[in-house]
Amino acid sequence: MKSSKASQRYRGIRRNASHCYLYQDSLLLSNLDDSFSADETGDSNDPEQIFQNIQFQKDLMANIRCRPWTMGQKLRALRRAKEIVLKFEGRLTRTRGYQAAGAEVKNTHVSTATPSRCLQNQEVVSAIAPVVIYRLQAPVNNTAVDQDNRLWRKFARLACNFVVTFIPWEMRIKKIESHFGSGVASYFIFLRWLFGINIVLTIMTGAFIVIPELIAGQPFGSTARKTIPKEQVSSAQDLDTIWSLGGYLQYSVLFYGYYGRERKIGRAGYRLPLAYFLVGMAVFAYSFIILLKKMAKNSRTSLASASNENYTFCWRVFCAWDYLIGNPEAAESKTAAIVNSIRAQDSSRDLESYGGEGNEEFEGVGGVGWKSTDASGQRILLAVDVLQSPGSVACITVLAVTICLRIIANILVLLSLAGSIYLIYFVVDRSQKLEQSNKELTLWEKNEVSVVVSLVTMIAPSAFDLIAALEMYHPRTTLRFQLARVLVLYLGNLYSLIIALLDKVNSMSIEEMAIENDTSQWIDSTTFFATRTAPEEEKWSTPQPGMGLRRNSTWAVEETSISAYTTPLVKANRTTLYTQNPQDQCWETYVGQEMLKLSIIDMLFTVASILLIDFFRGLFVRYLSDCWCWDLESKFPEYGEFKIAENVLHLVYNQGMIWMGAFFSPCLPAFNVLKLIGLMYLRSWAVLTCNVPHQQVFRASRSNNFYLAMLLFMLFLCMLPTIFAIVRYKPSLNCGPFSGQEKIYDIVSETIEKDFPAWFGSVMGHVSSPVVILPAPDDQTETLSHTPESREALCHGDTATGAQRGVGREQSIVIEHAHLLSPEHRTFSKAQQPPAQNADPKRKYSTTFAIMNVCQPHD
Amino acid sequence: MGSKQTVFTHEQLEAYQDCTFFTRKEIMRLFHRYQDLAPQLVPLDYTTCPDVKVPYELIGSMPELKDNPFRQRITQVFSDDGDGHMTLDNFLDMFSVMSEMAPRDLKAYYAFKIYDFNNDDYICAWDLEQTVTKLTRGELSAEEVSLVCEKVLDEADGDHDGRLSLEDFQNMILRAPDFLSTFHIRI
Repeated sequence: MKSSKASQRYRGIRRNASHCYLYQDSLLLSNLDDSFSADETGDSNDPEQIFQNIQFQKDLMANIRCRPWTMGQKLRALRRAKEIVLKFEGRLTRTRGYQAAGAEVKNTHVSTATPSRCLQNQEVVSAIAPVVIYRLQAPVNNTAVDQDNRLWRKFARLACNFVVTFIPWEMRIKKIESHFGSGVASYFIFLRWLFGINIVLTIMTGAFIVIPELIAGQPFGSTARKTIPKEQVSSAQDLDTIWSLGGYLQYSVLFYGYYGRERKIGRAGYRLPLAYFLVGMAVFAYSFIILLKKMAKNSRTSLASASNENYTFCWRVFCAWDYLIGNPEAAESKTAAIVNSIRAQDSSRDLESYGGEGNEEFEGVGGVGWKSTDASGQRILLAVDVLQSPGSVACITVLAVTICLRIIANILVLLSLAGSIYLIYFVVDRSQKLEQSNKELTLWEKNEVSVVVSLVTMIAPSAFDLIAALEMYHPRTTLRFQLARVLVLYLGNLYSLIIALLDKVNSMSIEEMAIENDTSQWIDSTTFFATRTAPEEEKWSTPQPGMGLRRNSTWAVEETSISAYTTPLVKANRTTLYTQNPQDQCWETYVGQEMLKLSIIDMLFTVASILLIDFFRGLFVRYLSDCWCWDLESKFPEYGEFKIAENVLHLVYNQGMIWMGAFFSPCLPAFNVLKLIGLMYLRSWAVLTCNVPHQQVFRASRSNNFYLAMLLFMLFLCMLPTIFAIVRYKPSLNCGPFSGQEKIYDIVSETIEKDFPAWFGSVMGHVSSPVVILPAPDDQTETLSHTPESREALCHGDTATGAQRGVGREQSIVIEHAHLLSPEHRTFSKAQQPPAQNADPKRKYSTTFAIMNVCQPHD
Repeated sequence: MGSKQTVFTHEQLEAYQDCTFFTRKEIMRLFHRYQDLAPQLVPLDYTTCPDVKVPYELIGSMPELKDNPFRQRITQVFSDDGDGHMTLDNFLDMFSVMSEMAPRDLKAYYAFKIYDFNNDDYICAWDLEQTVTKLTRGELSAEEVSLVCEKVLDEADGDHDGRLSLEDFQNMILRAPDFLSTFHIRI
């Protein structure tokens, strides 16, 4: 039964496919009406045919928008299809209709039979009828499903109509697109996409961590860890305390340290520490999934790219115009760029110095099809052009000079990279020493870490730009180098910062140990307070694993002891060590504070740089060019150009910062949402008012994965320090949801032990044994690469673009994660590859085209 | 809501959504754009399917098109009689094909028609010359143009008949890395 149904459907699809081929032919002749043969429009009585016809019409209805017909034809076809479906479905649906259809079929069979065999026919009919009815069942079931489908589609359309109204900044982006083409706009689209991700992250942290803590957690001031220490209260509202995220901000939901360690909070028993841990991980998981999905989708839309086929001229002619441009200035510069590119291509072809690659399509983010070009060959060519002296001696001298210059430039870049890394390390180190010196810090001293990091990230790219001018590379190569250098710089900055911070954390925990010993000695020696303050002290400095339970029972006692003995305690604290306050020893809060501070200062610097580099420069050039001794607009300062690649990198860097700090400061994504909104408005305003369209052609880059690959890279690298900190360091004793545990991830095993039935624990014990854990990443990769998107991307194998790279990277990440080298893994990833490489591309493409026309999704 | 209902019937809107890549809101927006081009010509009631055409001069002056060197071709391809005068249906069709959602092959098909200046279903040398001239606003010399045309035919002409058929064109354009993102008009 099942197989017959399946085969029927299969035949139907086959038939539909052949119909579609017919359509494919007919649409080229744009003669729609002929293709409706009688049996499609009309009254065929074979139920199978009816069924197929209905299926076919439904497919037509679903995909009619993809047909290259005029609207009139489409509307007509749609109406007809609807009519046919209604008519025949009416016949086939419902019991009545289906019986009627059966009867009708019976009749036709009878009537077609010759009268002479009437007697036999009685039997024949009775034999046929069940078959017919049985055949009809497939359509009946199907129509029910189809009705669901139709409802679902209606709902989906409604939802889609609804959702579209919430896509922000559509008009703004359109305006930018029309002024600057798709390149610049891709930055803003990327920004919007990041904004979306951050909103989801904000919702995740907000709903599962921040709001429960606010509602059900112990209120501010109720416990020692949620109270500002006495000696800091006086300065807690000072501007510079707030500015350096101390005082009230430090003791708020912004940071890790504020969250309580009770295993369950509120009446419902919400497990906050567990939620904290899981959300922290979910942030990374979600980011990975959404990134990979996006990459897979992108590579599906950009089918082509890295083919070796040489269509340079064709593309230069047919794909050169950016249809988004809607501004005369932009159109002019685009035209000029196209002329240049064609000319350059011509001449380079003629000279045969380097073939195939374009001269002007060097935009870094475009770079799917980059080949390493013969740089020195170009160089010579250019030198010949410049010097107008074809003599070989001159050539060699020029070559030598350029090589020297390049070496110098690279040394300079390396020096500045090393310098920036050292500078950051030095600054963090210094801040640590300053804090230990125990004197009042100035505003500069408090913020110098983040200011220095932001300054470096702002100034160094420009320095690289200047240095790159020394090298005299081809612009495309220059941009590539520039991007690579800036990326290394950003990563170096973030990493040296985090390493320096973790270093400081190390020394903090050593200090903590020292205090612990100190305090216990002190308690021993001062017998007077010992009896009453012991629980209190213990809670502060030496909690044991079982402490959480004990605390609830001793709560009342503690309350009284706080009120009664605050003064002596504070005094005692002062006598022992200044750093005794619960949160001063909280390294997680400290890291969170630093990341948030960095993010804030980065924002300020971005604003400042937009104002300075774009706005004031624009004003200056615009209004002073009349009374200046040279032409400001075309010579030195000029108007700023929008540097897509660097700005995108900056966004990536910014997002990396968020990922790095999100675990320690749950509100960081929320802050980033605000920051991105501000950036969107400021940037788009600045672009429209102060920047001029690019001189060069910038290849549109929305459809390829370069940005996303960078983001993925960043995500991975930013996840590492957090994971490292979670795995390696002991959580602070006096603050945060994990205080008192040996490792942060212990929360999971603790929950399994205590909150799940015993059998679950033992099952988990078996499941988490190495035998099961080791192959697990394999399954994971398999699932990942088999999401519909990636699979589809993999289907279009010959493209061999980003998705595979993306999936491949994920695989490699997982490999690294699990420290395993299972042979299965290799075979798996190899198995994915072959369709990518073999298959004759040309044939495949023509068939792909046909197939895309023919088989649109069937449901 | 009320005003929307008077322009189109519910069925019309549904049908338009089936036939284009637009949502209801976008269809309304496009209608208003269309209506704004010639307010005295286009009625505010389309329930009776009035036969109205907006002349090419007005369509071509839309900011989305006015700087496009191929605007005339685009409007001609999408208009009923090839004269560039467009009905609302043509107008919706045009922007649907140029929208972000339209599949690659559909775009390729229409791109072919746009570059096929003489409507003979082949892109011949003359079509290519036209294309290049429009693209560069006549800044290339005649030799350069003919050289470029020669190269293009060299590269893409699969069956060596001296002109590009639809299949040749699709072969070529479907592999272009930035075709999708540039052959796109946002409304």
